[in-house]
Amino acid sequence: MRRLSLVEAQPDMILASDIVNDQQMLLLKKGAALNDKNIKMLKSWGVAVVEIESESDSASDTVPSDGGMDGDDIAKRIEERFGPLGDDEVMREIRRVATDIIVNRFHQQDAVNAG
Amino acid sequence: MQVKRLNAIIGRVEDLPTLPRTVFRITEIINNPKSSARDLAGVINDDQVLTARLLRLVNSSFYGFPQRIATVNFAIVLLGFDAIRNLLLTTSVFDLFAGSDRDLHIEREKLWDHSLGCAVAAKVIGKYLRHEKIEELFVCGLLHDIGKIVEMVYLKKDYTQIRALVHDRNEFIVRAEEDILGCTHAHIGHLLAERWNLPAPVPQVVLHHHTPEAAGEFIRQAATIHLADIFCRALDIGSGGDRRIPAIKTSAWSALGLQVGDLDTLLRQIEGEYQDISSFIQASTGPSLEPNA
Repeated sequence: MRRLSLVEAQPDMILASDIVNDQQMLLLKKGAALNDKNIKMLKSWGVAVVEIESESDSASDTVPSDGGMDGDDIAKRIEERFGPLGDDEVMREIRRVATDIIVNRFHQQDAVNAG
Repeated sequence: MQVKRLNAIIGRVEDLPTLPRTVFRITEIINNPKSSARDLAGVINDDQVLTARLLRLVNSSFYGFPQRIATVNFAIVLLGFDAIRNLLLTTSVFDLFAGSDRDLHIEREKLWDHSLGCAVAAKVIGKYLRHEKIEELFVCGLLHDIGKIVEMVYLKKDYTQIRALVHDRNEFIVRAEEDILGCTHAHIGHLLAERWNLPAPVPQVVLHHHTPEAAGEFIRQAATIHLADIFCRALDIGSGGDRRIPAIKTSAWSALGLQVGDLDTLLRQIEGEYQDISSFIQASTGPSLEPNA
């Protein structure tokens, strides 16, 4: 395993550890293969360093998909950060709109990268 | 809060960051009702970097003027004094956040994003509520967490402990600060804002952004920053140092007089405006400033 600055990361390198953002949200799973699309995605989240498997580790447990998270994962993390809200309708509304915006942000990034 | 304890901490901070001299002079000129656009232009023109930044800002799509603006004088007439002070403070504070110290580099950047996000959010909330001095809210938002920068730069050991506590207990940074320092970034930031002679309500809002109910005549401004902070945490804009999102205080919500139905519009507008301004500021403060821009 070696640590690399994200700018040195290349497509087809295999992640040796999960990548989370500052809020502990999972961005890419261990074993995922890097590609142009997910490298851009990591940059957009401000990730500076990645741990990748060195060739001698051999990529035995590679996950074929790009291992990203989906809308449900994002919503769950946001819910955790808000904690229990009871019947506080102001905070419940802030959570609802913020979740919608963040999930959209993520999908848009995905669309930009795919295009 | 024990004043003694705060003084002891400040005593350890031998040399609090100062505002660049040019900004200080500009603040003086702006505060003086007798000064003209020409006086202000004179000071800005003496500083090449500021001149370049100002002209780049007014010629950016953020302002969207149809023709190219070539002189500082013209820029001031178009933008107004308050907007200029706003810009100068923003870029000077940015320098403070940028620093050359590699330690805590990522934290400082995240805090900058959080601060800029709060500035934008405060401006959006203020506009929505038809607050008279929008620019003042922007400055309050930008500077509300300046005490955290002082901790990162001048109280590095304590800050490292604070960060560890926040991480281990998943608690709010203010709680960890109280445990380690006996005071919070709000107290430290307040002191700094006073030393910088920032105009009211900035020092009071910095002090009370977590306790708007105690802000007296500035309760609306403090409540605005309190809500802006919650919005930015909810929208995952930068990081104020912990993962939690506090609930809005009832007193702050009533002071603002907003309705639950307003939140959707506000949050979406903040998201849009933040993306616009953050890309501009990053581009304009990069190392590639051309002196003749």
